[in-house]
Amino acid sequence: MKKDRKLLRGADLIPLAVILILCAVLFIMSRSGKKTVAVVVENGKTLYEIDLESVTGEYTIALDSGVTLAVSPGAICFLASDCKGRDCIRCGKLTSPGQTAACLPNKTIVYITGKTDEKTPDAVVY
Amino acid sequence: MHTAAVKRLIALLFLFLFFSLPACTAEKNSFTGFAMGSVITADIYADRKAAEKIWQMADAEANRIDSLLSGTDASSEISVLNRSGSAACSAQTLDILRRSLEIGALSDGCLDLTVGAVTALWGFAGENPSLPAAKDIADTLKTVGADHVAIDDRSGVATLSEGTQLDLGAVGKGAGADAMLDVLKKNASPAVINFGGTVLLYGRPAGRQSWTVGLRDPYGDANSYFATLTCTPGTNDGAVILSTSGSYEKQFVFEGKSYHHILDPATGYPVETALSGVTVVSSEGLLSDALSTACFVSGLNDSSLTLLQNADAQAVFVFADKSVYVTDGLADSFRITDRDFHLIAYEERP
Repeated sequence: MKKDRKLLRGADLIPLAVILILCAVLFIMSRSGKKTVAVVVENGKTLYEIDLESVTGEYTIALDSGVTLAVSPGAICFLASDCKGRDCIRCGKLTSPGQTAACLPNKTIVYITGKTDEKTPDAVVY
Repeated sequence: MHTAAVKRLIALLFLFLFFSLPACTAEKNSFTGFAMGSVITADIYADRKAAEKIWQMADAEANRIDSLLSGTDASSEISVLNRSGSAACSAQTLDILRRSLEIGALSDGCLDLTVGAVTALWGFAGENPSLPAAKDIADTLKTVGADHVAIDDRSGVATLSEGTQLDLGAVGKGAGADAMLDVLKKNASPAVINFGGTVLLYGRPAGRQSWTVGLRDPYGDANSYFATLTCTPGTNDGAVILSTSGSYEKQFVFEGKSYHHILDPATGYPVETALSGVTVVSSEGLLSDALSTACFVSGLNDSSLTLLQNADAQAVFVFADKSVYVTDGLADSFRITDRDFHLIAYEERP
């Protein structure tokens, strides 16, 4: 009796195509949500999630905590604060995942999330 | 079922797994919180529900350690001890004290938790630090020294000499990171946690073999870095914890002279050093935190290198002239990203 030595036959192409399409969908899904997003947290509550890649102009956000944020294409920063130390403003512009700025007296944190790789730091030690 | 059909099915299954696994790696979930007057940010790699649970436990641990060690919370065990001179403390507080005193002794007093009264004179914990009178510093310096602390193991009571005040600022975040690490270990989820500058890495990030940590540029803003370290925690519950002591963090200028917040326990004044900062890398938070202060106070010398070696820790010494010395164990994972900085050999240190 002759053995069927072929691993894949013509009839397998249909399920194989389905699997490949499924994999492609999974891959695209895994890539979505990896955008560079600025997350604004006040008193433990997430107020804004801003996709920095889709920002085309400049605008400001005034928060109840007494903080004003400046948003521009690909960046966000503390523009003004009624706190005494102004350390939050000195944090400068946040542009990459892993970066954080905070106004401790006003309990406001802004951080950038998104996909990191070997070149982008997961965190900065200081 | 026909043997060939089974083979085909297995082949298809392997194909599916091969292509789909990278897409199914655990998602990154970000969280933020506050403890010890610092911001905590965490990226936990797990499904959302599990990550939220892990974060809640880790955040609670950081705040629990804060409630034990805080110098500003009047009800903390350390505040009670500072106020009354003698107090029964929890086993965890006593462990942290013992461990810190041990490291302090090994560092020849470069790390000293009993500088609390001198720190208070300078007012670095508040918003308006100032230069104290020389006589006040000299008088207060008499309360500094490890021999001013006694721990009774049987009763669990810690006692301070009259006037001595503890300041656990040099080890607090490290101890907090250790407590958070215990939570991560119990849940076995990879995570990076930045506890006010002390960075805890556990496990491996999804789809990658290692973490990348930036080292803060002493002359740039809070998120700028001059170099990166590639860190690969061991596969068996391995963790890497990095801590930096730098003169750029808190400082003030008086009559044209700059004063930073890291005090030399021997003089009561900010450490006079050519260093801008020291970053220590080890598998224990308290150790990294304590050693970064000890090495900053001591400087780059044989004593600090021996201290690091005995503790199985590595370090990066950054000098004000932007020269950088890296201990041997980090040589392969350290990369300068800002060309103004340059590596030096031990003999070339300023």
